[in-house]
Amino acid sequence: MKVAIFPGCIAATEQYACELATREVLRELGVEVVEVPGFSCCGWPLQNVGTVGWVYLAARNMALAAEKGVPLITLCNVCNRIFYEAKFLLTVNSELREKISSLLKEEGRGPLDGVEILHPLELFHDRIGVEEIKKRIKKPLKGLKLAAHTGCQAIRPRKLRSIDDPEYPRKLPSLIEALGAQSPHYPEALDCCGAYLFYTRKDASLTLAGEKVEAVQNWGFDGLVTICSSGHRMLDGKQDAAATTIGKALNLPVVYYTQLLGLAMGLAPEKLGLQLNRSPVRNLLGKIG
Amino acid sequence: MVGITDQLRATKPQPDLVDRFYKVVEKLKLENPFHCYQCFKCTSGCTSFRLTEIMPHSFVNFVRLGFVEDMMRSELLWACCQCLKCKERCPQEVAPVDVIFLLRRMTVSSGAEIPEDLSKIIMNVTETGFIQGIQKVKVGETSVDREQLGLPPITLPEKFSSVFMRAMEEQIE
Repeated sequence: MKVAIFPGCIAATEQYACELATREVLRELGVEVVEVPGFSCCGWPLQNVGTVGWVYLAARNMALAAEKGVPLITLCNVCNRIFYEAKFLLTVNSELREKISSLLKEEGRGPLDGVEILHPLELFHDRIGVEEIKKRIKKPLKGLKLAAHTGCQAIRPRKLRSIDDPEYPRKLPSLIEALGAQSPHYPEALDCCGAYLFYTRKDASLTLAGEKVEAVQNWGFDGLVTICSSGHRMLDGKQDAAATTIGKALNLPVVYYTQLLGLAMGLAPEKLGLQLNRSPVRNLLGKIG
Repeated sequence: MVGITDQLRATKPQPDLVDRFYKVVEKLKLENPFHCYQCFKCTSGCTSFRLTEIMPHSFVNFVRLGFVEDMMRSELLWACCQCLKCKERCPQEVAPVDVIFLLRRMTVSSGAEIPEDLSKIIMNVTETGFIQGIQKVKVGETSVDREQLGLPPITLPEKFSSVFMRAMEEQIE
């Protein structure tokens, strides 16, 4: 299987562990990553100001992947939703489609049709599969209880595309359990990380992140597992700032699913970028041994 | 958010703006806000309502009653965290979040200012292609970048900025 990786702004410019760990585990699983130079922002921030600008950004990124003819793996839930929304708009609005096509031609891009957008949950759960992942495990994560954070933008709206159940997502927990750990449901599983509010209401954004981490911590989980670079940046990268905002002590290890999968497959922590996590992941690494 | 009786006393509705609003709804094939029956389900599950006064069902209601400009000026327009629960759960297939985002675009095209940090990341996208420049991140005492971590370089085609600027100037709404 061949794929291209769409990092999105957060993974491309800051959350390097996300891309590192994804590349490492895909290599280990025999999935070839095709390099696609030229990716930009998916278009999300422009959705606040106008329609043509953001759809153009989404379309040019999809066109870049279409030129290589491989599915595009999105490392950020927001980018995934944006690509699907752009595809929808380009189907229903011919005026927009014409405008975008001529802009793409101007940039020297080919047609934007036919690109397949794949969420990491679809890649790991539906394509590679839980049973195949189980076979690759060298260090089962026995005795660990880990909370799953699937993230809002991956599961909603279901009408746009159906990656997992929007009210009771089970793919990430089952992928965690494939590694030998437990991942029971918790009441705050659908709570938002606050990423979207970071640029308009910073305090509310950090409060959401802090309350989510606090809830997971209070349930006695050994850690929190993310699958989205934007969510991870809030829950891991900004955990200290979130703790200050809500006035609570937070010390919950937060890891990307790909980091956890890599560890269970016996890969070295530094290859998976665990030295880049801001939350106390050493507490979790100590338990894995 | 302000209650319906206070709103009716405070300002006059602008029905012409409702038509303008609905034209865009049709053009972008958004869910029809006029189907809302004010059951409050969106607001009861609204992430941002826990922390702010935002009430998605009120945004929908005020817009269709004609208070479009009042809603465009509301500071609460920027309190939505786009968790999309309102859109997912609405029994009438209304999408309050899309109403809020359309109001944001309308207020921007009318020349109103947007929150400073949001405008900063939009500027960054136009200049660099991303919401921020490529960061160096700390590992212990040192800082590392993509290259030192063995990640492929980020490059943008030469024509990117000029074509993107043209896209930003285009309007379909």
